[in-house]
Amino acid sequence: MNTNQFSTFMVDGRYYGVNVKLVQEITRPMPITKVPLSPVFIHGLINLRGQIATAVGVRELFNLKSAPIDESSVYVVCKCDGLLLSLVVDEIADVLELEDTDFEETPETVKSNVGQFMSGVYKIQNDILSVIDIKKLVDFLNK
Amino acid sequence: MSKLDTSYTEFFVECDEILQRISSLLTKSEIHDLDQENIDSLYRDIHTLKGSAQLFGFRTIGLIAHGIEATLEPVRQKKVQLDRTFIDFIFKCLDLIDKILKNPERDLEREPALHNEVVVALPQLVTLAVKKFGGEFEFFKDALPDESSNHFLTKIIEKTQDLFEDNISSSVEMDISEKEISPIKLVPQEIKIENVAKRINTMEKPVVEEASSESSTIRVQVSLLDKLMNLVGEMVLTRNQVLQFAKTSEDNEFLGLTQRLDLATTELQDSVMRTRMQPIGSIFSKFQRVVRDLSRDLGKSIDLVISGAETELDKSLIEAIKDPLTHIIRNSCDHGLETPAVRKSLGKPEEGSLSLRAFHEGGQVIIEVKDDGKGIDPQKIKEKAIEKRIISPERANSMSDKEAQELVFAAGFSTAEQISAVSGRGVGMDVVRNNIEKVGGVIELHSTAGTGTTLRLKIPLTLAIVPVMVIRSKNDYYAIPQMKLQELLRVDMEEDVNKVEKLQGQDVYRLRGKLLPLISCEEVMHPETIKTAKTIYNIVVLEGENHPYGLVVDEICDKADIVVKPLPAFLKKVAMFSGATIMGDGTVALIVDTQGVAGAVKAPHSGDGKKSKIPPISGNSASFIETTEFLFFRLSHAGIFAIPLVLVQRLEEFPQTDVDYSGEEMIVKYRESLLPLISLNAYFGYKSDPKEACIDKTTVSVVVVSKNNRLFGLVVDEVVDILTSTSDITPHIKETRGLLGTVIAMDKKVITIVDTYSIIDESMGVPVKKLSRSLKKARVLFAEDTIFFVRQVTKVLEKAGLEVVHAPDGVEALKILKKSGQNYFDFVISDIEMPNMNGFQLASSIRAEANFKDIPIIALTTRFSEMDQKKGKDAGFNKYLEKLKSDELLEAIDKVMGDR
Repeated sequence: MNTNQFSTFMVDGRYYGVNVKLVQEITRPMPITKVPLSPVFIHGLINLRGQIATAVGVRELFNLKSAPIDESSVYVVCKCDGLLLSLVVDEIADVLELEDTDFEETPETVKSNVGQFMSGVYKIQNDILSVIDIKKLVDFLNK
Repeated sequence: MSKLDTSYTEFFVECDEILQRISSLLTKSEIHDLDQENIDSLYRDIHTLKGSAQLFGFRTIGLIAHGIEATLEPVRQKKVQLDRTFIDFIFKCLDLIDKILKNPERDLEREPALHNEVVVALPQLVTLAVKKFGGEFEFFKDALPDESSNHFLTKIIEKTQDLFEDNISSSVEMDISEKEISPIKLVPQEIKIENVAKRINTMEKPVVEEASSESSTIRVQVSLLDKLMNLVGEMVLTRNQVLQFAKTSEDNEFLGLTQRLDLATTELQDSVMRTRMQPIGSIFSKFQRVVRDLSRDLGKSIDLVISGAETELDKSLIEAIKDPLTHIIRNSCDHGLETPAVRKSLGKPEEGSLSLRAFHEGGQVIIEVKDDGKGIDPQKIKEKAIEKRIISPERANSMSDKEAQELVFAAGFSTAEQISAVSGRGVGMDVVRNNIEKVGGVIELHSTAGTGTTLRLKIPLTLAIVPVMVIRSKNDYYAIPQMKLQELLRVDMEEDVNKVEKLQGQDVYRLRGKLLPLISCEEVMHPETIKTAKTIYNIVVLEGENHPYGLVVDEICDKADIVVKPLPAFLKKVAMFSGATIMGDGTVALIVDTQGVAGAVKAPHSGDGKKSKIPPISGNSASFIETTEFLFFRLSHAGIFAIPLVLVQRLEEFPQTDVDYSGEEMIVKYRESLLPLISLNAYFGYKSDPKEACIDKTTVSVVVVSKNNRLFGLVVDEVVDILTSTSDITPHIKETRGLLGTVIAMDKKVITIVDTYSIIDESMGVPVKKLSRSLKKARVLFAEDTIFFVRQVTKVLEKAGLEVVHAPDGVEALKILKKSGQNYFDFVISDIEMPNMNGFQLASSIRAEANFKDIPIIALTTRFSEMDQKKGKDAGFNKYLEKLKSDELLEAIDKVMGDR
């Protein structure tokens, strides 16, 4: 049976995950350098041990209400196409190993503000996990 | 001399490489059999060795190589297998070649032992091989068809022949006495080698020795060097962080250690950087050939003097400047230097001189290309530029010679009267400049007509580590490349005589008699911030696109060497930053793109940022100016302002007592109706209160203007004069409320033009027509001859989100339209009264074209009689509108677009 591992986190009370293969590391918030005149979801640039990662606010990206960065905020650093993206999320959750049989395409009723970044959903106990497709996210940024 | 050195050095290096390759292949063959590919490559290498050895006059090596080649032939044809004895012989041959190469004299005459060895070994090898593989002796002999006079080589051949015939396959005794190979005999053929040896011995650097000490160079993958460079970059960063940390420490031992770390890191950085360095001579030497070929093709006599070929530059930079430099040299030869006949008549030496010099200066490499040709004639350049519509005749007149010469860098410029095969092939100096700037370099031009041209390229030493100045604006730190930095200024508003002045809300500073426009870093980075007055200005003078400008920052911090980290692609849209870096304290700082910043503050309506596919006639390129008449008036302390006279209906003086107030609005009874008055002093927020200004006098000076059939009165302090100006309106660097730009009046004073319509709209609370929601992104061709209307209408259209391409008359408009094809423009707006071809003619000509018979055409005119309107409809106009009615115009556009 095919399984995939997902690093999961919470944004605005909802449950999201990214494929763990794309996650480089998870860090606490660190000093950030704002980029003037950039879109609101670009929080700025961070120094990840000599490499520069772009911090992207998932709330702002999804068009949700912004929330201040606090102790529970977490940076999920993903690597895609040589690009280091640091997703700013509300709270980190477990790494889950999920079976392909529990996977389903994103239902059409999911609003496009989030739906456009999703590759699908996993049905898990007590909840449904929305999988964020980093590639779609990068495509969106580069658009 | 330098060329000779280089060639020989290259030859030696090549031989070394080949010998190494062959050795490793042969070694491999001892373990397992070589496949066909290996044998082919072995054969090729030997062949190359033979060829180049003979080319450089090393006949002995050539002969040996030939011997190997001859014996390898059957192997290659799979007639026989390589066996151990045979490989041994090849190795012995290689040893011989190696010995000859390593012998500093390279003169066998002085090395009898070596000479003997060759004479003995070579025949052995060949005999053995030939014997073993059968009847190929002739092949070997063929190598030296006319060598009968060369006793040494002939001896070898003969020896071989003897051996061959004697059927002796091993341990041949040496039987040539030393006498036989006396120097005299050798001289005629070996003379070249002797010469070479002498020349090589006189070289400053003992190249030969270098070649002979085997381990002096190794070949390393560039990717490994890149990685090393990156790691050193990381290390430099860490070092910076440690140093930062050390500042707060009082531990002496720790401080000592950091100092040593600092020194070692600096040295390491320097050394690693040097590993990527190559002497620029590697491309300079190619120019010898280029210039020689060019001088032959062009019938010119050119002496190329190269100096500083040993100057070192990063490998990637050398690659990057190669093409631009080639172009510059071609240009100098083609356009710069005259033909010998012309030069003679001018009293110059017939041989033109072209010097190519490279040297270090202030952490940069300067490459200077200098010719003593005809120089750049500013007048000629201007004429060309006018002809090519790069500048207007008016602009040309006001240009300095230096400015005119800089026009060669303008896009679409080529000075050659005829396009020759040599240069002028579409790639112009603009491309050269772009390429140089791409690697962070700068190009400077100095030319005197008649005596020559000098081009200076300033190239950074390396791309990866950049010296910068760190500045602070608010709480953010930014890095500015030193390359782009001209000077640092500090202006104290209380103490300095020379202060920062205001030119209509824009800060300017007189720097050595020239106005330096100032841009506030804070405002650029955070447009929402509210301006505050400063007492001290820290100004970084930077190179803009064409002119320097001053960036006002809160603090100039420190110099630093930084490692450039690229920004992700989606952040490149913010053109103000060229990259990012990590500072000593571990935070990320953005690297400022100086041109991007200059571009970011440009007035949006200047159209410069918009790309049009027809560059010289684009947007309101401000090229087609005619004399415009301006009404000049004074506003309290703020000085002289102007309004284009075309907008002025009348000048009136009203008794103070006639001015009434209706709510906040000042009004006066005028021609049976009420004329709303707008005080410009109040509008611009100038100190003098309008009421006070009025009270001072018994009358109010009013400039009556009309907008959309309504009259408005602009209250000014005093109407000064009506003057004609030939100069164009220069748009402000930054869009300022109520102002259109500046113009230079006859007495060279700079006068600010007020934006009448915006002021009226704003004062009357007219909302800006927002048609952009319904206006699709459309492209409009706008034919109009009066620069004022061009600007006004373009502004209105661009505000509504349209892309405007301007044409100065009907002929031009038609040309652009046809050139751009059927669907490029969505509609056409045209004036009626124009030179060359008027609006009616234009409309009917457009309608006559099958491609454009349906394109909407809107007339915009002051000829608004009923007859004119009918004539317009007949000519093919869809709409016929009166000028300067922006609302009606936008509505009409909306309609014609909607109809489509």
